[in-house]
Amino acid sequence: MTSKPGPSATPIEIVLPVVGMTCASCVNRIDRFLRKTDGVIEVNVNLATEKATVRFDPVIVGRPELVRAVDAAGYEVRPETGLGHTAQSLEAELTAEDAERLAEQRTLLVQSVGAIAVAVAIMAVMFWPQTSVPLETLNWLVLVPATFIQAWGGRRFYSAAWRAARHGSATMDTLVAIGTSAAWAYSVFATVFPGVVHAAGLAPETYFDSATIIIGLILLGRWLEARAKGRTTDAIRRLVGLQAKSAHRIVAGAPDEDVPLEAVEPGDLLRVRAGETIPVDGILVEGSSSVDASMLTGEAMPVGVAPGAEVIGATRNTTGSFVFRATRVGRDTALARIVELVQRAQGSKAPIERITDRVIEVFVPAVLVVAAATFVAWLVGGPEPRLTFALTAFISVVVIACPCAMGLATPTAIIVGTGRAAEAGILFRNAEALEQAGRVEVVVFDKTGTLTAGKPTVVDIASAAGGDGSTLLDLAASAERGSEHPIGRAIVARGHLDELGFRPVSGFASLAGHGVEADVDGRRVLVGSARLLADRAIAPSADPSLIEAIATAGGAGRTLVFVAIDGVAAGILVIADPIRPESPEAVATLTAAGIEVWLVSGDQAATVAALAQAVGIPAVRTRAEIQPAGKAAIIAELQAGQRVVAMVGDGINDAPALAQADIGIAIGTGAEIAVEASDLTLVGGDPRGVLRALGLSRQTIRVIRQNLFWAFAYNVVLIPVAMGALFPGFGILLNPAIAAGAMAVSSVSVVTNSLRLRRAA
Amino acid sequence: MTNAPDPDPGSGTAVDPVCGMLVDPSVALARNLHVRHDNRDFYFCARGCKLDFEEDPGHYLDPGYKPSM
Repeated sequence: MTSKPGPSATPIEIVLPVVGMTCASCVNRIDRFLRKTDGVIEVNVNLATEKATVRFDPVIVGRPELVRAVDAAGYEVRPETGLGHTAQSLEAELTAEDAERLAEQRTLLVQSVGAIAVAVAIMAVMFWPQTSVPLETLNWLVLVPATFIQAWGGRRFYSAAWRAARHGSATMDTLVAIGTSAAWAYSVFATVFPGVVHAAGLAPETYFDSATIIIGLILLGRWLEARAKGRTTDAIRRLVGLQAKSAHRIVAGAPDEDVPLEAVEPGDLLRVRAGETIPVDGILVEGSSSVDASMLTGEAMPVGVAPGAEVIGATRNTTGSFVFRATRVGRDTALARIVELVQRAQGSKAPIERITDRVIEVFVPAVLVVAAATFVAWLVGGPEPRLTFALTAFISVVVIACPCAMGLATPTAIIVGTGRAAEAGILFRNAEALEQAGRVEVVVFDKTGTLTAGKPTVVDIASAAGGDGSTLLDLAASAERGSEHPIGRAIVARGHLDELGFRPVSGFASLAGHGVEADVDGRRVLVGSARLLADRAIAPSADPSLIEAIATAGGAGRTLVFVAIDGVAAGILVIADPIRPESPEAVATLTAAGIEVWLVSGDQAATVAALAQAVGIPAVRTRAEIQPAGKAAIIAELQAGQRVVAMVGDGINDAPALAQADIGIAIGTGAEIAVEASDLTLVGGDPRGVLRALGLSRQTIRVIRQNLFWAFAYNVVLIPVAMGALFPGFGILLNPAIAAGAMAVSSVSVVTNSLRLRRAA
Repeated sequence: MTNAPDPDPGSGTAVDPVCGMLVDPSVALARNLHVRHDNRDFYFCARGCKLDFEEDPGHYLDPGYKPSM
């Protein structure tokens, strides 16, 4: 990595909830005070959400200084409750949100059913074939219930329209408020002053039924929409639901105590029994087991863990029992960070959405102009009864043009798409990454930790004639138990996986740089390099099968560890960074999907070439012995033809290349889950996730396009119909009630289309 | 919109001279968002505006000053 200028570290970002902001001046003032604080890089104060997002250098400044700055500006930072954004608090938050949404849904349903019932009753009264009661009297009869619905069910539209109007804007609520008010106000006028209407040569007909049915149908649409939208956040709910509820804390000299998750602190020793969910992140200290992490990584196979291994909260212990030391709790756990990342991505705006936002901004005023023009045109040039036609067309245009389907098209698809991806262990950093990933044409893999496992492992064992592999491993792993060397640890880990390497050891000696020597079960065991054996005058082997094994295993980035027992060469352990079993399939499927796959690595040419051949990447698309800066240069070269290039790396050594690529994909395993530097993180590191991520992106974009097409097409087709375009030829004029129904259907269909992504592969 | 602060608390609303928002003087008084300057009463929507004003009243009373909202 390049040297860093000065003492600064990677900037971090925090969100401060600010109390007391009321106006733009408040925003400016807080912004100003935060900015003049040393170490602050970027400030974004939002009046609507009452939050200040601050990017700063953690070496120079911390949260307390930022809180003081806000305080000096005259405002207050709301104290954080408990640990803040933990998975636990999230669960409580989600439950509260659920309750709130259910209450809101109930209100919507009651109001909508009430409005529709009143509308039907009004229609029945007004159109019942009878002549005994004059129209003027009937009008007075329906005025009361219609006005009640206007005030009760229509209130939310008025208040929302008013809020928007105060900021000089108009929303879909404005359209509903204006449309229904026009119908209601004219009807009240005709009821109270029928003489004036008669004088104009018209029957005092009223439109109370139109106003109430529009309110009823739109509320019904909102109810359906709210129900469907509740399901878009299912993925988050499922992730949060993964966590354990409590932990068994080990107390010295006493039985374990069961404590709630919130009470667990870093450093606590916790016991996990067979079949239980691991409560928080930590390091295993005693016992061994295998852990099923499929809920976080999508990887089906449980992974063996032994002392020293990292365990992740919310994954499930399978058969063994073990004790681990908690390292990260609360909002620092991998699960909490994943949830936070997904939530942030779901709330972010895709570039495509900024376009629709701008369209909606001019759309509503434009509709009002069109509706007014329609009204005037019918009044001036239309057939009799002119006022009736003009009013009907005006109301229909205003009601049908509600752009809410447009407003829902992108965010619902983004929320469902990122949630679905998260469940498959694919974390998009934001909506822009989700949109961009589908356009990738070239995928560049780094070797370490992406196509290979990223750590030395015993990949082969060969024993001399007369010996057997498991005895060899048992003795070698026992001898290496005290070793600190990565290769020694690899041997111990492999032994523990096979439940070997627990024999009594005495006389352990570490032979710096060459190996170890120990007495295991009364036998003198020597484990180390070829040179170690030569120094001890032990012939590597006279055994022909061992010589052959040495010849085939040599080279290609492999390390041979020799084992001698009682002064005689007994066999070899082949150590390598093994290819992930999924890698060849990952490369093959990407290639089959028309994506160019490259391998760029810092390793030696022979190692890289062997790997490329094993996973099926052609030699012309392989580059070896490349430094991190060189990797970025190669990415830039590949981007030359306007091609969209994704780089898959481990997120630490590959930072410049990840940044240069259009999409930086980080492999996140263990502690590195949710790598911030990347656009996309594959939890668990299955390289097949790359194609899956690109596919999910494409499907999400397709759904967004479909949504936008339908939302716009619907307006383009129906606004002219509502204006009366079909009237001259076919005598068709849209009924305002049908306009309201169509509007509701369009919103619901957009949300339903987005929900299809929940089942995306 | 006027830049002049409303000097009369009895009228029901006053204009925050910093941001131009309409403020209810009784609410502002209750929250200590009130300043007496040059024998005139000024009411503010929040502490930030009040502090801004106290730092440099002349700037906000200048007829050329436009509230930022």
